[in-house]
Amino acid sequence: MSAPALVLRGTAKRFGPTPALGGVDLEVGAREFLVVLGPTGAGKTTLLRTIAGLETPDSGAIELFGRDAAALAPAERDVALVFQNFSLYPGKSVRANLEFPLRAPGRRLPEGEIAERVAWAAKLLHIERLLERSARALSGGEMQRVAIGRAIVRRPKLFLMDEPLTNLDAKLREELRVELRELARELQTPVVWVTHDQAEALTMGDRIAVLVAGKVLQSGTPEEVYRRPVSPLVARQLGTPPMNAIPARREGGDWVALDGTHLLAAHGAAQNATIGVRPEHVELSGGKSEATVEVVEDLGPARVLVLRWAGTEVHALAPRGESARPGDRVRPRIAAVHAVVWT
Amino acid sequence: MLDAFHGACRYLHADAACGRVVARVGAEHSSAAGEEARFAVEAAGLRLFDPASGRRIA
Repeated sequence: MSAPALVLRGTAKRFGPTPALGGVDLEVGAREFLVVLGPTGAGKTTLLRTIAGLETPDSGAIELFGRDAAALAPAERDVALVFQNFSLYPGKSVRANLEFPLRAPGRRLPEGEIAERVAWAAKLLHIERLLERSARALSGGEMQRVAIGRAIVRRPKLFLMDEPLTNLDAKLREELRVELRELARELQTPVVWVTHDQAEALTMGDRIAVLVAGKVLQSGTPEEVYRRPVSPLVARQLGTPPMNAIPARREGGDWVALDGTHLLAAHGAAQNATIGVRPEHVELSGGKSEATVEVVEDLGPARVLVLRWAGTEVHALAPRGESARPGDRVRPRIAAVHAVVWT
Repeated sequence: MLDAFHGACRYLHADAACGRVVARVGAEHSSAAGEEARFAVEAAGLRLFDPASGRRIA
């Protein structure tokens, strides 16, 4: 197994009295696509800027490809940052924008190689027809393709992506998610991609690191973090609708909700817990108590039912053929094998 | 093949002879990049469009 591209050990950063990163430990493999998922203010951008050398950590270590990054100036780190606000030169053509990083002082690339790299990036990103167009005349999606092109022409050793799809409309975001994941696979260059969008995290990452208030709360494959979140806080970051979190107490050999509704069999010694269950693991029959269907949302391939059950609001995801309507009574059952018990 | 995990399901993006095909499958059905797959289409879910006018035929 090859050495990691990036290692952070206890990386901490404060801005005055405000802690931005509270001792972050992270590792990114040589060809890995790591998504850092977190809400606004979690420290995502500070994390990227610290890796890029634009911020100096107060403590902790950063290693890039086995070298202590503290000794490396930003330009020596060979990383490329892509921002959410496109950051192009509006008065220049697409070609000139792509050429710009290759003409930076100190690079001294031959003209032939500049042309070859621009053509390569334009082809990969499907922007060949835009090369002579002014950056000012591009759509949002085209601008972000060019911004990514400016990063890849340099052929850096690591990509740092700061919510690059945030300013695009939902349909375009969905298209680019797939294209950029395929592009990353083709380039075989490690990526650290930060986002607040759970769909990007689930669909794009080889691994996800959930960052909240400057701390990594959990990291793992998308499946691991989605299915076995370590806390309700992590669970809430992933999944739409989010994981149900039902406060419970022990009654004999069972977990029951605070209103006494039976939830599932209990194991272990804890007397109080929160039961986490994804909406797709709430079955609509076979349970011991009744619930009322309050809302039915049709998502096309599936339906979301909002139930009043166990003294709280519970979401269930049902196949598109589900015929329950608001006001109907159902008997929910939690698929115990998929439930998470937080004590 | 690109396997996009969405939590409750997966979307498989595959290159087929007819072009890019996207299939929604169960969350447990994971596929590795480059793996070949066979798809069957639910006939009841097919919609036919006139290529000239773009209007739905069936």
